[in-house]
Parts: sequence; C-alpha cells; structure tokens
Amino acid sequence: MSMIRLVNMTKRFGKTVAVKNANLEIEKGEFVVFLGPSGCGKTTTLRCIAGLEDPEEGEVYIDEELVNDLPTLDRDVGFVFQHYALFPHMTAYQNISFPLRAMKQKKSDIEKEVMRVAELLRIKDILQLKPSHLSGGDLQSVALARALVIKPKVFLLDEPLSTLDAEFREEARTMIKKIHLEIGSTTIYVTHDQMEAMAIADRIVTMNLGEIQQIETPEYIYHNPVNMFVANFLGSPGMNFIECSLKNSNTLKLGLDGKELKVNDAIVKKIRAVGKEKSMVMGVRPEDIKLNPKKDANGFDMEVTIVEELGPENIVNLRSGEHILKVLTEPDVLLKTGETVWAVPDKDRIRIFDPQTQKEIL
Amino acid sequence: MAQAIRKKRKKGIKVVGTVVIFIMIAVVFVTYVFPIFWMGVTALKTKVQIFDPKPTIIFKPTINNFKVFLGTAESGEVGAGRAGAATSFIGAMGRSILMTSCVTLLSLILGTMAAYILSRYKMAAKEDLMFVILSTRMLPPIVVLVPISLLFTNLGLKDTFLGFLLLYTMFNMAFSVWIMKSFFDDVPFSFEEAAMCDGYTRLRAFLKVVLPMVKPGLAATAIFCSILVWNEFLFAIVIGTRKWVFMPPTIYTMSYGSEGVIWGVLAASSLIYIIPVVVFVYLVRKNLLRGITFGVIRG
Repeated sequence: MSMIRLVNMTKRFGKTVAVKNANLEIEKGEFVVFLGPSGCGKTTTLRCIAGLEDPEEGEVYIDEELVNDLPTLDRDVGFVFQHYALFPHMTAYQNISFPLRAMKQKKSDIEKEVMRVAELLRIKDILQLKPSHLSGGDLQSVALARALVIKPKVFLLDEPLSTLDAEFREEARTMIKKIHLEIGSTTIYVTHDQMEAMAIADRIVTMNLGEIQQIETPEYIYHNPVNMFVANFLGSPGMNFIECSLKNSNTLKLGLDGKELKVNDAIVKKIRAVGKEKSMVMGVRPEDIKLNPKKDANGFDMEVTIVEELGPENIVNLRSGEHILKVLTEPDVLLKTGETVWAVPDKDRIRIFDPQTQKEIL
Repeated sequence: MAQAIRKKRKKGIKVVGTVVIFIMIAVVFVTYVFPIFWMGVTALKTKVQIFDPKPTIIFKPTINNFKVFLGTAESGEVGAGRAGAATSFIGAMGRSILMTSCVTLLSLILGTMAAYILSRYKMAAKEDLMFVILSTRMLPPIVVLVPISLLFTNLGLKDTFLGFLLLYTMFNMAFSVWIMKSFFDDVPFSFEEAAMCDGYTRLRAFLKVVLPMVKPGLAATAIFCSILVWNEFLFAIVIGTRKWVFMPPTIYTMSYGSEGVIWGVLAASSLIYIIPVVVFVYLVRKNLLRGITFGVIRG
C-alpha cells in the first residue's frame, strides 16, 4: 500500500515541460526528499501532489485514491511553504489554529490541538505574537505547526530551511527529522541542498530538467549513482570525471595528457560488454582518491593548485593541463601549491559512464 | 545664517535635520490649515466684520450665519436662496451622507471583486481591460454632462437615487479597481495556497486571508471614493433638481445673493459640510498604515 503514487505525470507551463513523465511511489510513513538544482521540477511535482498545480497528463494518487480532480482543501495535505506564508494579521496561535477553524471544531478541541503541536515544536511562549515579531526560526516552527496541526495524511515541505541562517538550519533539520520519527507522517521534503537530503531522507528522489533520475536511499544513491548528473550533484565536492579510453586489458588511457591508470578486470569486462572501449568517462569521488607524494604505479601525477582547508578535511585541487581534480584529504596532509603528487584512485570505487547517454556502464 | 547652519552641523547633522523637517512640516501645516481656520473665523463674523479692510482675529463672534443656513434666521440679503426650514439642510446632509455611503460601499465591493480577478486570474487582453477602465476617468466630466443629462431624462433616471448611484459608482470604479489591484498584486499568492492547504475554499481564503491583508487599500479606496462623491457638484446640480438635492448645490443656493457671495453663510455651511468627511477619515486612518501588514513573507 503506497501513500503517494504518481503515474506518468507530466506538467507543462506553456511550452516548457516542468515535470516529464514522473513515476513515483512513496510508502506510508516514509521520509522522501526531492533533490535537484533549481528549475528541475521538484517543487512543481510537490505542488501537483498538493493540488496547487494540475498536471496535464498522468495520475496522482494519495492513499490509493485518485486525486487529480480533488481540490487542495480535500486532499488532506499539510504544506509548508518556502517563505512560510504565515498570515501577518494573525497571531501565531491564530495561524496554527487556522486549519482547525476551517473544520469548525470546538474551541476547547482547537486549543488542545494547538497546544499539542506547540509543545512538539517548543513554541508555547510565542503563541500570542504576530509573525512580524518572530525570528526566522520561530516563523519556521509556526509554519510547521500550522501544517502539522490537522495531522495530515501527507506532509509536504517546500525548501523549508532555505531562508534560515546557517546556524539555525542544522538545528531545524534535526527538529524536522525528530518530528517525523515521533509522529511517523508520510513526508516529502524538497531541497536543492544535497547535504540536507543525505542527512534526513529515507529515500532521495533526484531530479534534473523535469525528469526523475534516481530514487534510492541516500547511502545507495551516493555510491551507485545511475548517471553523471546524480554522481556530480550528490557529494560536496561532486564526483570527478575524467574522459578515458581502454588501452589494453588492464589499463585506461586518461584524457589527462595521455596519463594512464591500471584498473580491475571487472571494469574492463563491463566496458567490453557494451563496446565502449574508445570513449568513456571515468568517475571517482574526491574521498576515494589517495595522494602519494612519491611516484606510484597505481596512480598518475598531478600538480597541486589550491588547498581549501575546511577544518576536519581539506579539499585539494589538482591540475593537469586544463583538467581539475578535487580530492578530499585528512587535514594533516600538508601540500604546497606547485607540488607534484600522485593521485591514486580506489580501484573498487571507480565508476564508468557513457559520455553519450551520461548513464553508468554497469 | 550660513554660519549658524555650519555650527549646527558640527553639533550633528541630526539637529539640523530635525529643525529642517520641523520647519517644512510647519509650512505645510500652515498652508493647509490656515484656509480652514480662516473659514471658521469668517463663519463667526458679521458681514461688516468680514468686509473690514483690516481683518481681525479678535472680535465678538456671531452664530447668525449658522442660523441662516439652518433656516432659523434670515440673512437679510436680497435674492438669497433660503433653506426655508431646517429640514432642507438636514435633508440635503442626509441625502449626501446616504449617497456617499452607498456609492462608496458599492464601489468598494465591485472594485475589490474586479481587482481581485484582474490580479489573480489569467485572461485575454487584461492590460487593455485595465486601460478601458481607467479611460473612463480621462475625459473631463463636464464634456459628458449634457449627454448624460439627456440620457438620464430619457431613461427616467434623472433626479433619482438609482441614477446617482449608478453615475457616481461608475465615476469611482476606475479608482477602486486600480488601487485595489495594486494592493492585491502585493499579496503573494502563496497566502491563498496556504489557506487552501489548510482546508479553505478559494472564496473563504479570499475573505479570511486576502481581504484582511488589503485593509489599507480598502481604507484608501473608501476615502478617495467618499470624498469624490461628497464633493461632486456639477452633476449634482444639473441632475438633482428637486428630490435628490445634495449638499454642494444647497450651499451654493444658500450663499449667493443678487449682490454676490454671502461669505458668512458660505463659510458657516462649508464648515458644517466638511465635518462628516473629517470624521470618516479620522475613523479609518489607522487602517492606512501599510507597514503593519506587509513584509512578513520572507525571502
């Protein structure tokens, strides 16, 4: 039994296709994150589920009920807007109780429910204030409370943390995850921040140019991206790509001034199976490259350009001709600009992509 | 003078700024308030005092001018119109208040609905429609005075409540639609979407969420509309000949004699005449503050 199901859903704005043929199933109680760059259709998909947009094609099911023609107010969804959309002329209490008042509940019941969510979000002391007197974090909490107060079947959040200061963001992220664990609502969360997505999602739906790319758990999607877009979008910095071709049965010729790299048989087998020996793209994550100051037969030499020190780790930028590789290192690895090092990729973690389709060669 | 300013600048530009602002406010205040003050003074003077070549502020006041206007005393002027009885004044005042209220309310309701649709929904030739609405105000009203007068005579609308209601509401629609549209445009659509997610229909979302947020617009529109109707003279005197006589024509007939303007009566009646508008604006003024309601959507 799925809580939300999209079947071949397409949404257009004029001639632009915002969401193309989306298929998706979300289980009850799942925390799903829509991840993608801006304009990829993730918010539009969310709005189609909420009924704020009407898809031109395909079906939207909530709790196995076809809701295409059901107006938003009958869909039983809680929606948190990017800019909160709290009503300025009402106090926090009135904002939170707003959906309950739509249902014409008894005053005492309304108060009980408001207090329940206020307790959950720890905003009891600000209930009598108007939005203009609240801080960003409190606005956020009130917006969450308003969406949660009706115990919706589906809880939809559209980039809820994007307007918060960095220091609150992590706190709010944890709070959202905690609330989800406590009440177990089916949640869809839209973000363009891959770290946020990795941190809170049960499953991530990556989107690009209106199309769903991959739907998987954060861990799986990180290590097994289906294509170059997903590989690059997840991770900070994203995956490194190097054009290459097969030289012989255990060596790749890299697009780095003809440098070479020894690889496993398994990879060669895969390449041969699809007949892409001449032109491929090798992908390797920044943390899967070790740096060796001495010549290493399992690696290739690169020049150090910039070292970005982040504290717990460093990002080392390596250069060979025009090509830049980013490598994550321990902070105690000391490198100087201009130094030559040997980059040694972890052989088991090298991924090969088809440059035409951008898909991984499996 | 220049030296003095320089000295002050050393103390801090703030002081200079405060002084300059104070002077500017004083100038504006005097410019606007003095005529009204002088009107009040004139209303309390006798004819002789009014025409005194050396006008004084200290004099023995008389309320005779008010009495004349209210119909309880004679002006003694030759050929002056007479209120005849207090009912004439009260009747005109009542009609003016009734018409102003009805027109303002109707203009607000119609204007708000039209403006909301124009602000929120996609439609063909929306800009052209907005222009057409505005164009009703582009012609000096006097140009259409005769045609409308004839039209109203033929339609039986002349000197009727309905006639004036339609006419004045039409005058006001351009204002109310344009002002209200700009206010609706300032309210982000996500407020309505939020209300719809909260289980409200479009109509209830409009009433519960959007309308309270455009209160300053409603107040501004109401003030514009009411002043326009309240002060309308041209059509009032041509179309409202017997039954629907409003205040401006009444003041006119009361304060002109064959020897010219009876200033005392004119001042007294004008003074009474501005009271309702002042009260109305005073009552709605706090709704004019935009700052209270805007700027809550962040980003």
